[in-house]
Parts: sequence; structure tokens; C-alpha cells
Amino acid sequence: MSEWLLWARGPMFRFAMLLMVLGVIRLVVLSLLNLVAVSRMAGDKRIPIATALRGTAGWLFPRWGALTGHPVLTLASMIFHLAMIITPIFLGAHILLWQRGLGLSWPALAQPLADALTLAGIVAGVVLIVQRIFARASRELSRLQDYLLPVLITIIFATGYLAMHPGSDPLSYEAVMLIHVVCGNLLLFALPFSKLSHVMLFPITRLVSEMGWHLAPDAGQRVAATLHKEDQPI
Amino acid sequence: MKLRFTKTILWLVAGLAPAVLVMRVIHGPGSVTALTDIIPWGLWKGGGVVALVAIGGAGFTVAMLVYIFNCQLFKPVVRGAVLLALLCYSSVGLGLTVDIGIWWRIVFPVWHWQLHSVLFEVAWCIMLYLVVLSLEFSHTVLARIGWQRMLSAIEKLTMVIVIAGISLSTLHQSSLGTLFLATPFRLHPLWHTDFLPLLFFISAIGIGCLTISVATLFVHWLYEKAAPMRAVSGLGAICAVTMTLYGILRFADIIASGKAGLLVNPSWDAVNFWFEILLSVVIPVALLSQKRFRVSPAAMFWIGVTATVGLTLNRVNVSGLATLSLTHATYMPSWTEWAVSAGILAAAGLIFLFCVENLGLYASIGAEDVKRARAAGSLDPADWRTTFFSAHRHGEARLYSLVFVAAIAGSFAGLSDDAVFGVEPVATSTSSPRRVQVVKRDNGCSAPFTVALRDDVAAHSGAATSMALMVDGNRNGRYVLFDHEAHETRVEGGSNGCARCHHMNRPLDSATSCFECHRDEYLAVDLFDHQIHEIHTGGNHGCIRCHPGAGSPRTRANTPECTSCHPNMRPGNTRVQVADAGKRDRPSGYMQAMHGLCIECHRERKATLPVERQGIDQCAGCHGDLPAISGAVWQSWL
Repeated sequence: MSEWLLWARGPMFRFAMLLMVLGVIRLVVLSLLNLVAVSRMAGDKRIPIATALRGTAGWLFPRWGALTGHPVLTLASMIFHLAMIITPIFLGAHILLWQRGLGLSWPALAQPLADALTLAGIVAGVVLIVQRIFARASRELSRLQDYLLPVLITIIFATGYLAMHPGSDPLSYEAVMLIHVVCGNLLLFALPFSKLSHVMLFPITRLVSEMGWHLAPDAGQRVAATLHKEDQPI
Repeated sequence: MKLRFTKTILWLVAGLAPAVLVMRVIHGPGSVTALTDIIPWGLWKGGGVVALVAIGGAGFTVAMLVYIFNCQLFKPVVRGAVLLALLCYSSVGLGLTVDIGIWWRIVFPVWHWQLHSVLFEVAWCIMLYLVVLSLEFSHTVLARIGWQRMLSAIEKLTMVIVIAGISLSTLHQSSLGTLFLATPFRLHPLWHTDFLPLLFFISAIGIGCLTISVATLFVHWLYEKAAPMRAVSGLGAICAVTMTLYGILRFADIIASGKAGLLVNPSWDAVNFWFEILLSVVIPVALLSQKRFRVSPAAMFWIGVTATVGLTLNRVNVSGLATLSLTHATYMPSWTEWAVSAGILAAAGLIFLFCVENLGLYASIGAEDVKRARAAGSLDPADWRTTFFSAHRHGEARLYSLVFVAAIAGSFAGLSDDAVFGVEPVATSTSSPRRVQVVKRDNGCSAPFTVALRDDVAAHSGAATSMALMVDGNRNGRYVLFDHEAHETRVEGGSNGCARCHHMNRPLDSATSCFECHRDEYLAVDLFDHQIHEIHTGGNHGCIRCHPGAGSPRTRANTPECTSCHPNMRPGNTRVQVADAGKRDRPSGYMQAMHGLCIECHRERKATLPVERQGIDQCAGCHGDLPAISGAVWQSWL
């Protein structure tokens, strides 16, 4: 068991972490290349950075108005995101790892608060998974990764909580830690290759979709030509 | 599709190098190479520098043929040859930078002039030649971007540049051979000869002809165009002549200097030599002298590959492989060394392909051909590969960047912790030494002194007292008595001997451990010499005599005992008995031997000794390993 744990914390972690960092850089570069190609074709050459930033900032906050029918889901989603962003970065045990590996450190979250956030994250994760499975509209829209990713993240929360509280842990510490580390690595690994990439691409996606609607000047005629309807009224 | 496949492989291999290179630059070569003090020149030097310089010989050979001898026949490949040389020499520069211990000193030859050094000449030649090659290659770039004035200025200088390039190549190709004249006691005599400079130079011309042929043929195969076969077969003919000359010189030298016997002496080196000659001389000369092979692209390609491998083997032999038998060393490059060498070559290959596509390196490969070769073929829009790699723009970029990034992460994961974090000394905690007063006296045994504590001075009135240290010598938290005075007289160097113990500490240690000097007590001892047994049982045919059973693994565990062949190996009446009675193939260690010899006597003498010395058969009676320091304990062992 301890050899597996060493492997998961050593080579596997290094692989996942570096792949995540380089993969995200790769995605950003490719998206920007796309953006350049789009703007080269567009009639309107302006790059709507302000609109994109406004859109990004706007979507960071829950839209109560738009989703009044599902306040529980909105809340669960928000808690899930907050827990996922704050706990891994500001957990004292994680900061120790950073300090040991790279010599970096920053203030840690108070442990009771981290515990509370983790438990809230677990509850929110379960709510989101249940909704995925049982709400028909969600089910119709879901891909495989939409089921797997929340499950993976909830497992990470749960095993992380157990690892911090060995007293309430029915399994052995090393087993729980192994699951925690392996699932964490899988999450890092999946980040640049799944919808998780929105952590970096969120603002760029706004920009691309804004630019994407800047059509080429003769776009209308070209569509008509493709459809063989040149002489027909639109 | 084969273009895309080739590029994918190249990107993948190129991705193996960066992580290793970064870690090597940060933490030094020790943790990513298998080099030792005996074999300090490994794959990076033999393959990445010495062999690559020869492979880059294409540049000056073809440039000389085209610009000096005005052979228009070779015009189609001259740009490719110059680029090939430029890429080889750039790789050499990079390879050498990461290979030398303190990498930023790669620039030192610029202002530290060691005029007596061959390496100094090589360094300068390669630096200057890189500049010359860049100027030569700037032709192609300037023509492509259309800077006419600059281009015409460079064109006026062509002759000067080419002549400079040829002179510099002549100098450093041969000087690399000169370098190894300094290793007569390392290099096997089949390779070491005073003609090394000449042999290096001639073979560089021969191999240069073939490497550019291989590159040209491969590129034309990739882009599905007919290669300029007249130029290629012309190069083949030149190579046949050159390599014949090289072969004659090599054998004439070996025979004239009386080493011919080594050619037929059955040894690993002779096999290596003949294999190298077969690949680099026999096969190329035999096939290239026939026209039907010279005009066939496939034959030329494989002949070229064979000869390149053969000549690379020659350079690797001279710079390392053929030194193993005289130095009795072993060296196998670590995977990180392979990754760096292959990665640099793959990156050079990608740059070559980039120039083929964008700079019109070969007149025979136009923009249309490139476009056709790069087309992905018919795509199934529903296929996941289409979604990932081709649906949007930059389909190629998506694929290549993915394998590149994955290769970097993979190679980083494979590095050892020492390579990633650097080699950290481990602090061992020791208890501080204590100074105590002792008496010494003759105990009537072969060991000169018994040391007793001051507490017992009363019992030995009249004995001289002195000071001794109690040190935690073995780092196990238990004190042993350490006779400092005796060490002062015993340690080499007399009064200057302090440094033996006090100034050779490891990082974070404050004094040298006992076992740094007294290490043979703890070392495993093994008198079995496999090589001697191999020779006496007749080489490979003898294996079965000690390792019966063809299917079972040939390990020490399933061999018969030594005594089954050597019945008189251990005298029957010896006092030293081996603890592990099952396998008596190991002699006793120092500790085992001493215990076996001494304890019996001590037990016998115990009966004759006074009561205060009844501890003579206890461990602490000799070793003074003191688990607790109290008067009672001392009393018991005195």
C-alpha cells in the first residue's frame, strides 16, 4: 500500500500536475489561434474585450432571476464551486505540501472552516449528482463526463475529510489517502481534456463567442450560394 | 497521412527532452546520467557530439562539390546539405552544453585561450563554422523573405564563406580524431592509431555524402515526390570511393603497426570491430559500387542508413564503447540520456521538415506538394478523432501539441526524486561526545589495552590515567569508547592527520563516522568471480555446468554449492564457521571471522581470570558498546 501511495504522490502526481499546467497553456494558445483566425475573417475587426470581461464577471455570480425555478440547484452549484476553489488551495495540509515541494506558502484556512466547506461540498456534490440522474432535462443533456466529474470530486472531498479526521475513518489511513491522491491526480489529468477546462477558458470562451458572431462581410451571399438560393429573397 | 504520422512521432520524441534538460540544468548531470568518474564521456558526448559532427559533414562536402568544383549535378541537394550541417552543429552545441558539468562555461573558450588544447581548437572551429553555416543558410531564408539587397551582398561573399567553411571543417573533423590520441591507455588498440585525425576526416566526407542522401530520399518519400536521383547516386559513387580509401587506410594501419592478430583474436572488441567495419565499409562499398543499387531510391536509403549507423558506431566506439574493456568499466546510458539525445535529434528533424515546407529547401517539393501531403484525407465528422484533432482549424497543431505536452509530462513523471528535487544530504542526529577519564593497562591478550573508567581507578591504583572520548560513532544513539590519542598516532599523516576525521565530513555532519574508515567490517564479502568461472568452463558452453536446467533462471539461488566442485575450499577444522549453512559460497566477513576466532579463546580464558574480569566473553567486554552509562554497568564488564 505505501509503495502505491508513494507512486501516486510521486511520479503520478508529477505527471498529472505538469500535464495539467502544459495542457492548459496548450488550450489557451490554441483558443487564441482560433481567435486570430476568426478575427481575420470577420468584417468587424474590433476585439470586444470589455464585453467579454463583463460577461465573464457577470456569469461568475448566480443568476437568481434566470433560474428561479431551481434555487436549490443554484445554491448547490455555487457551494460546490466555492468549496472546490477555496479548500484545495487554502487547506493547511496542502500548503505544507507546496512548501515541501517548491518552498512556497501562504496563510491557511482555519480548520473548522475548511471542514465546514468540505462537508458542504460533499452535500452539494450529492445534490448535483442526484439532480443529474433524476431530472429528465439534465439527463437528456448529460454526457459521460458530466456524471463522472461530480462523482470524482465528491470522492475527493469525502476522502480528504476522512484523511483529516482519522478518528471517524473506518478504513486505513493509507487506503483513504491513496484514493484521495489518485482521484486528485485524475482530476488534474482530466482538467485540460474535459469541460473542467472552463477554469482557464471561461473568459476566452466569452471572447471567442463574441468574435464568432462578427461575420465576414459577404457571409450572407456565401450562405445563399452554398444553399443554391442566390436569386431568391431571404 | 505518413507525413502526419512521422511528425507526430517526432513531436512525441522531442517532448521527452525538455523536462530532463531543465532538471539537468538546475540540479547537474549526476542524477540524470549514468556517467561515472571512470566513464565521464557517455552517450551525449559520443553520440550527441562526436558522431553528429561527422554526420554534419554533409555540409562542407556538398558545398565544396557545388561551389568549388562547380558540379551542378549536386545543386538540388546543396541547400538541404547546408541545413543538415547547420542542424547537426546546433545540436552538437546544445548537446555539449548540457554534457559539460558546469554548463554555462560552454562560452569560456571565447576568452580563456588554452592554445595547447585540442578541445580549444575544436571549440573555436565549431563556433566559427556555426557562424559560417548560418551565413550559408541565410541564402535560403533571404531568398524566401525577399530581402534582395542583403541577398546579393551575401551572394558576393559566397566563395569566401564556402572556403572558410571547408577549411574549418577540415580542421575540426580531424581535430576530433586528434582528441582521442590522448587516450592510448583507454582506447582499444584496434581503434587507437596515430592516423585517427585522417581517418575521422575521410570518413566524415563519406558519411556526409550518405546522410544528405538519406535525408533527401526520406523527405521525398514523405511528400511523395521523385527524389533527385542523379545527385543522390553521384553522392553514392563518391561515398564508395571515399569509404574504400578509408577501409584500406584503416586495415593498412592495423597491419603495419602489428595489430593484425587482434583482428582474429576472439574477443568482444574484435566482434565489435568487425561489425562496425561490416556496416560502415563492407556493405556500403560492396553495394554502392554497383550502379543498379545506386539508382534505386530504396536501396540508396537503406545503404545510407546502414553506413550512418556503422559510422556512428565508429565514433561511439572511439569515444567510449571501445574503452570499456581496458578500463574494466561498465556503462549503459540511462533512459534520460537517450531521451535528451533522441529529443534533440527529433527537434532538428522537425526544423528540417519546417524548412522543406516553408523555405523551398528542395526545388522538387513545391507548395502544392506540401499542401497535398499535409491534407488529412477524408474525415468522418462523427469520429471522435475528428472532434479532437481536425474539426476546427489547427487540427495538426492540436495533435502535435497534445503529444508534445504529454511527452513532457510523462518524462517528468519518470524522473527520479533526486533529479526533480536535487540530491539532498540527509541529516543524521548524533549524541554529543563526552570526555571521560580512563586507565589503560595490559590485559595479557593480543589487543594492547583494556580501557577502564575513572570510577574504578581505586581498584587499579598506580595505573596511569588518561582522557578518552565516548562518541556515538555508529549513529545509533549508543556510546562507544573512542581512544583519541591512539587514533592520533595511528592515523596517516601524524599531526596533520586531523583532517582525516574532522575535515572530510559530509554535509550536515560534524565529525566523520567510524565506519567511514572502518568500513570493511561491515561490507559484504564475496570471493566468487563469475568471469574466471566463465573462462575456465569454456565460455557460453560452460553455463550449464553451474546452471543446470535450461528453463530455470540462471541465478545464484539455483546453482550447486561451491564445495561440490571445490571440496577443499574450506579446511575442515576451521574455527570460523559460516552462519548460513545452506549456502557456503561466501567467505566469512571480517566481523564473522573475528568473532569466530576470538570468542572461543575468551570463553576458555574466562575460567582463569579474576572475578572483576568475568565479562570477557560478553560483547561489551571488547566493544565497549555502552547501552547506559552507570557505575553498575562498568563494574560488570571490568
